[in-house]
Amino acid sequence: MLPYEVRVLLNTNYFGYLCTRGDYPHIAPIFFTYDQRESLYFMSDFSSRKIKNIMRDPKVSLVVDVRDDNDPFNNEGAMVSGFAKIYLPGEVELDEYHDIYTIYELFKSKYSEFIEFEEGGDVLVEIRIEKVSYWRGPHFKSFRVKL
Amino acid sequence: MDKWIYELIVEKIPPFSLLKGDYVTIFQLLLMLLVGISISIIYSLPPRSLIMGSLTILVVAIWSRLTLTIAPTLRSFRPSLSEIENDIIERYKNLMFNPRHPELFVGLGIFIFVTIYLYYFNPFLLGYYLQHKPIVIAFALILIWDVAYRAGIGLWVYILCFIRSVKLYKASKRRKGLEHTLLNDLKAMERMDRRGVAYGLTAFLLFPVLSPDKYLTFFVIVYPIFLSSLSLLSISLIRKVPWLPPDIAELLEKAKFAYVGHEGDLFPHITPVVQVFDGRNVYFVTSKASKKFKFIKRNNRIAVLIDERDPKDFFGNKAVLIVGKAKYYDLHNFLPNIFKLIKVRNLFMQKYKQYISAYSKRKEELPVAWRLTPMLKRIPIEIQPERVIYWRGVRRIKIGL
Repeated sequence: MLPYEVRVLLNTNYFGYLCTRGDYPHIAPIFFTYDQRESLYFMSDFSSRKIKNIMRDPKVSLVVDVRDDNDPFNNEGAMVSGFAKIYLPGEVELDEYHDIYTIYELFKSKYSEFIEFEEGGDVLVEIRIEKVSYWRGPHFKSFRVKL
Repeated sequence: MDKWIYELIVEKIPPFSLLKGDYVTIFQLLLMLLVGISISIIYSLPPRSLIMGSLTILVVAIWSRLTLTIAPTLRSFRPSLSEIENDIIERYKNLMFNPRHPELFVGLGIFIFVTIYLYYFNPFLLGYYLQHKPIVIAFALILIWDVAYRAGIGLWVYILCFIRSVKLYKASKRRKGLEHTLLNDLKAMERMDRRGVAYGLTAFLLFPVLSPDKYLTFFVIVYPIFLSSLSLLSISLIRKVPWLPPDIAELLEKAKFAYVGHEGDLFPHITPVVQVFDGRNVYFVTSKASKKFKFIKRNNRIAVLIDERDPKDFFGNKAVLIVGKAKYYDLHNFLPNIFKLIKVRNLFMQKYKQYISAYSKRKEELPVAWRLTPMLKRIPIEIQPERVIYWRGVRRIKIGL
């Protein structure tokens, strides 16, 4: 189980910053959802740079943070790292179907204004969390997640 | 786009068309040397003719190598995202490869001037090197033409480059919104101007050849000084043209945070940092003891994302991603960059006033590595951009049906 502070951050933030590996590192702001266990999800166009990078190297990190322009002691954030797994629309195994449907529901409730329904659609990416670093102001904590 | 005569020869006529890049130049150099050596043996010319002739051939070879890079560079330009700047670049490209071949006329002018001078005013050099032998002079005229033609190309090209820099610099001050010229094109222009400096300096090699004649010596000194300083001026102007549109520059000035990404070790590494923008580059600071700094020392390829988050209106969001090489400043390269670093430090002091005062008030709570001791524990890092991407608004999530 992830620590309480990290779960709060993952449940209250709309944006995450995803870092993937390529010939240069790549960062993209993403919408994401958290399944309350050890996985994060995001959706992306199949032809995007992040998906290309993930297909070459599935190791990714995501930062979620709260920033205070006036007081650095209130800055709070977490970097979660893990392995990304891509689910192609239309190629989902039957036993995964229920889970994926649940994830779509999470997106619909969190980002209702930003959802479109379209044939084909985006690929869904799961990030299985392996490692978490958390900071508040100048203080850091880092831990591994036991699956 | 039109081509220069020399380029056409290299592309179409064998054996040049069979060779690539540097080999063309080497082949040309050897061919000309072979002809030169044969002539000097057949007509038993003094050794000085052979040496100075070879030196002249070397100059021609260097110049043609530099000339061959110009056209591919110009063709690599992509349309600029500012109409005015695009016009300037298009006009510059058209003049460079004008079907009337103005560069030929500049060369012809130089050639005519030199031949008339050598025949009517001071034939000393003709005797000194060529012993007034008509057939040798005929061959020498070919070489003189080659030199004059290339000296003409040099003048034509790098004067146009200079005018382009002046115009782009002026136009860049009137940009609005997302208007800009792409970073890679500005870098290509800068590279071209650097070759202009080399082009000019190469002419100094002709100094020993022409030194027996004081008037021609004068020209061989003036030409490189003129061309190199013009190109240097052009470099300094093109470096002042911002590679970011004003919209994004404004975002960089305003936004207080940036995310720095690195390939890391076990997993990629990404952390928020504070950043400033000095009108040209983005800087952030990191502690010497940080993981980020350890990673950057190992591999300097980084990505920096800076964005504006509007919690009420996601569609108004903006973000810019800059990928490139990190350059850090510590004790060993601090002095040569002192003015830049002082400016950067002042920018940090202005932008993060509240942060600095908060830190000094609660100093005892900070870890040792965070206490504010610039240059010793906190390292400024500059990002030298390779690629830039920016977004406006947010992309919707598309759920398949």
